[in-house]
Amino acid sequence: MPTLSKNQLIAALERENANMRVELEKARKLAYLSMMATTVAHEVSQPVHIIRAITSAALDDLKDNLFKPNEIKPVLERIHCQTTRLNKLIQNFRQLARSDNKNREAVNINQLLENTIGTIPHKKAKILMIQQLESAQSPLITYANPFQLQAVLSILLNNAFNALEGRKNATVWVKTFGAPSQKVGFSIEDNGAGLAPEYREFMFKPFVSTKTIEHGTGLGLYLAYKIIEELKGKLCYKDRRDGGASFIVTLPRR
Amino acid sequence: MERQYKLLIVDDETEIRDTYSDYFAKRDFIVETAADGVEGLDKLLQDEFDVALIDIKMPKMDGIEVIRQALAYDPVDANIIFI
Repeated sequence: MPTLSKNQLIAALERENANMRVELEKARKLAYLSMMATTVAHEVSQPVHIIRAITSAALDDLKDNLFKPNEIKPVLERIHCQTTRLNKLIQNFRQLARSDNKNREAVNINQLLENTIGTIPHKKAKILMIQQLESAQSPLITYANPFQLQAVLSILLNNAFNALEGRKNATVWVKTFGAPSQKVGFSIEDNGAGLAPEYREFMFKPFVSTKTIEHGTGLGLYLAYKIIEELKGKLCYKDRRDGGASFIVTLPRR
Repeated sequence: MERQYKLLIVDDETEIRDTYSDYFAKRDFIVETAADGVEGLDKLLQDEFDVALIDIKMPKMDGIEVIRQALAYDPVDANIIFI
């Protein structure tokens, strides 16, 4: 019976490994896209709802002879304003879909966090922002694609929200920092149950999840870890001192 | 003359509040508005309304919580509609 030589065996295993990497990359992209699609759907629904309300009201007014000629201009202006909002959103999403290492720019961590948190639906948890004050000599700036950082923040916040589901005094702390050693970053802490020890070793590996299948793809933390790694930064986990989880993102200062 | 109905609209989006409010004011409703859950609950408890239109996703207090607290407090008997 012919047996594979050692080299043939190694080559076969390497091929298998490469195929698995391709599959993993596909799954990672899909998870990223589905997360973004959820965010975008939420953002799109509001202006669509407003346009529908304005037009239905105007149509009803016309039917009931309550529509005054001087109302045409404000009605059109308000609809126009909402379409501008939608247009901007779609542009942002396009940029996001293209988001990769190539579109890097100077990003102010404090500003990015402030803007992103405003757009993320707050579930039943308080968010407390604790921002490191900046001085002109040492602003909290890193060099990255802002959309990738937003994705990381959104993954970590969603995890925190899930960990806090149904808990009393549910709180998430978002802190920014600038270490003297040319590092900047932020941390996301929650007062949930923290991470069980058996998950710690594998937490940044793909398809590891403490959540049920409807809630998690098991790719969030892996995705976040990869993004930060590509930016030459670090993502690590620590137990929060008073109970709960704490994720710390460190990035090179620009 | 027929009695005027009293309506409360609770929504954090100004455009939604204005649109609904104009619509019902034109149809002879007495309309009150609130921009978040806390303000909405406050108005709901202080005044009597026939109907309350309440958004679910809102800052400070969401619509479901507004209803929960309002119902815990007896005198509220407005018809509630989520928007």
